[in-house]
Amino acid sequence: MKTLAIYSMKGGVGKTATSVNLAYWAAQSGMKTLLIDLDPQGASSFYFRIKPAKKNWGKRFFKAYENLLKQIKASDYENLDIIPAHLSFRNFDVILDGLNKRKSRLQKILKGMKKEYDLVILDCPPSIGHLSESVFIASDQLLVPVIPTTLSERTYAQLLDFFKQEGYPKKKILPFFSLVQNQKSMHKNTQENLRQSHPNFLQTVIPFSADVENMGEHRAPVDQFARNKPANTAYRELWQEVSRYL
Amino acid sequence: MNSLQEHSWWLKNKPGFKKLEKLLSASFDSLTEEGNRQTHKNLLDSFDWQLWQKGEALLFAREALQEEEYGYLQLLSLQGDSLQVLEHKQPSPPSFWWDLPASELREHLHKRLDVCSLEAVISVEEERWLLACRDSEQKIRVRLEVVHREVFRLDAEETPRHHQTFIICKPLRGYEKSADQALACLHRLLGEAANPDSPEYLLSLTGLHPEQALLPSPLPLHPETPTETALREAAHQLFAQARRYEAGLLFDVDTEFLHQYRVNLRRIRSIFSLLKAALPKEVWQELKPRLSELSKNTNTLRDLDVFLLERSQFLAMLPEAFRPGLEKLFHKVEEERRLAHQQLASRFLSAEYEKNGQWLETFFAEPPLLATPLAVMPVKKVAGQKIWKRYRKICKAGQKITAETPDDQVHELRIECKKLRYLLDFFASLYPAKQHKRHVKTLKRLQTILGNFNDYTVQQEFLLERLEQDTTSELDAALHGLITILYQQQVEERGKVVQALRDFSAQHVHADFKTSYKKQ
Repeated sequence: MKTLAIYSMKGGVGKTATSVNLAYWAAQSGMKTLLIDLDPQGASSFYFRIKPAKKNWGKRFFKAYENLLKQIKASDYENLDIIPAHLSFRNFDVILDGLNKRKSRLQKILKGMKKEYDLVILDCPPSIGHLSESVFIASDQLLVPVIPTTLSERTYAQLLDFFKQEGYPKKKILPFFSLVQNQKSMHKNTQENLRQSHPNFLQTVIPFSADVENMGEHRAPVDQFARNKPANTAYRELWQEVSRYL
Repeated sequence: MNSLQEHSWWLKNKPGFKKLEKLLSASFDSLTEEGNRQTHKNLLDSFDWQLWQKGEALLFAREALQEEEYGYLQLLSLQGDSLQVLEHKQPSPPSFWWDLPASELREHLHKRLDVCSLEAVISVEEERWLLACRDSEQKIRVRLEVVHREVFRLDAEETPRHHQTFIICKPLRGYEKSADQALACLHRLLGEAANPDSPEYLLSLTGLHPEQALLPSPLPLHPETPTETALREAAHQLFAQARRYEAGLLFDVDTEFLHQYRVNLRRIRSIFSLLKAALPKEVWQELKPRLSELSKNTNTLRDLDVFLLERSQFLAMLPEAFRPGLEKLFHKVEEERRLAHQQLASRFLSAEYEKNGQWLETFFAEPPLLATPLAVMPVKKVAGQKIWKRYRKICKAGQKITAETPDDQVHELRIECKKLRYLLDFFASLYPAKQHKRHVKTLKRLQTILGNFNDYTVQQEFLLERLEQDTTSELDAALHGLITILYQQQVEERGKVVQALRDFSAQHVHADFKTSYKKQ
């Protein structure tokens, strides 16, 4: 089983759209996939029409795994299950807080999923804290959407610094350009600069697209309502590229 | 990803969408149609139901989706529990275990079927109507499938077609309660709970009875039956069983048909010849050549089959460099085999063969003559005498065998052991099963060694014959190599004979046979 986190310190970079569409394509490719919605805003659960969980989470560690299992919901698509966001996902932090080695806690909990799933995708909230650090440890790869603007460039540099400082392997980070508008010269230039200084950027680029915004209206992955549109092709190609790293 | 248990119920009629929608509206916001699928399924087994005999069945399913074909093979218990599944994208089911890609299922079928082929025994054509019950968010809470199907057996043309309709409820993880709600909504439509893909059910629906196709093992005998009567009755059943394999043999389905044909004939021949005093001399003299005639025809083909079945074993014995030469020989033998099969097939289709078969059938079915002392003796009494006598004969002959005894005498002893084996098997139903098993096991140990010893000799002879016929230097080298190895194996096996004989006549075995079979 592999664990893929979709992570960004900054909000509004297309993180949730990426999680939803990548989970969808992974499942379509035949991998038994579990998408865990860690973002308290709960957008990826929303896209799959799954109501937020009402049940209370247990607070003790030894129950954490059983509690997690109880939250699993089947999506409308084959091979794809989801753990919806909890109304207050601080609970995950609660689970993590009680630990001695709390940073590796998430990793331990996820290990139990090995029997059932080939891939776990974590849709992470935009922040840096206990939860994100647990995510860094638990994931095999960290997929980071970057809008090619100066501000995002800085945020990305901060993430790299943090990894260096804490001694996390930089290899885990897979950045890619998101919400790209090539008619803007800043987008073009930033992409060129970043690709030069960071050759690890993925080849696939996700364009800014109304179809992605429409996911909220259709409440489904792009493939379900805009099959032949460039955004859909881009997500499918992104999955193909990412899967080579897993 | 755990999939949840699906449940099925019989329906009298296929309900309309409006009706389902109305019933389900009590618990769900909407019902949507998710398309139709055509599924074609076959229940597979070998001609002798080798999977069924072990409580299993193989299901082949193929579904026509929009673009690609989707298919799988599923090993089921007879009750319908899934044991193993393998994706199988071919349009038709596999014929042999070796047609499958490396997998657990392939290995399993290898063990179960060996050289036997699979055939489709039942066909199921399904039309599946996919439905989804949704909540206020339009999220699917439970899936339903209304299946209409036609089931028929494939062992003859124009078999009756059974039409059935059922509904499958497919709960989704995290929404288990919704499945219960859907069933509550539909309860008026539902008949009895169904297990439509259970092999047991499919067999009984189509009226297939594997247990009737197979001979009971051991053949049941009544202790008081006169020996001649028992002989004729057994032969009658064995002959019918042998003839069952004729069609498959003609069509050359797999090598097992010929093998089983011969096994059954040999059983008839051996019990009659071991108990020939139960028939008047002139009757036996007429029967004997008619029986040998049948198997004589098949000897060449069987020898070639055996050689070809050992192909990979022979190739593995030789270093890489010698293999191409041997491969050529195999190609040649394959061609010879094709001709031998043609010859046998034309014999099978001849009027003479049919006439002989009919004569034998009539003979076995005729009332007994009861004209000799052995003929009227109760079969249980005969059993004990014959087995005990044969056992002692083997022990006595065995004592004379040393490491230096000529091979001929060892071969004779092998034949004596075979005779004892036929006696034990024929009379098995008259004795406790445990005792029979124990004695056969003891005998088998000896028979394996003697059998191997014989096989290595026969194989050498087969290859030596080739050496005289075919002379390319490449093949010569391969044949010389093989013969040398086989000779070494023969010598090695010969070395085990004396000890095996000693074990077989050991005091405790002797005592066991004595108490079991000697007249008290």
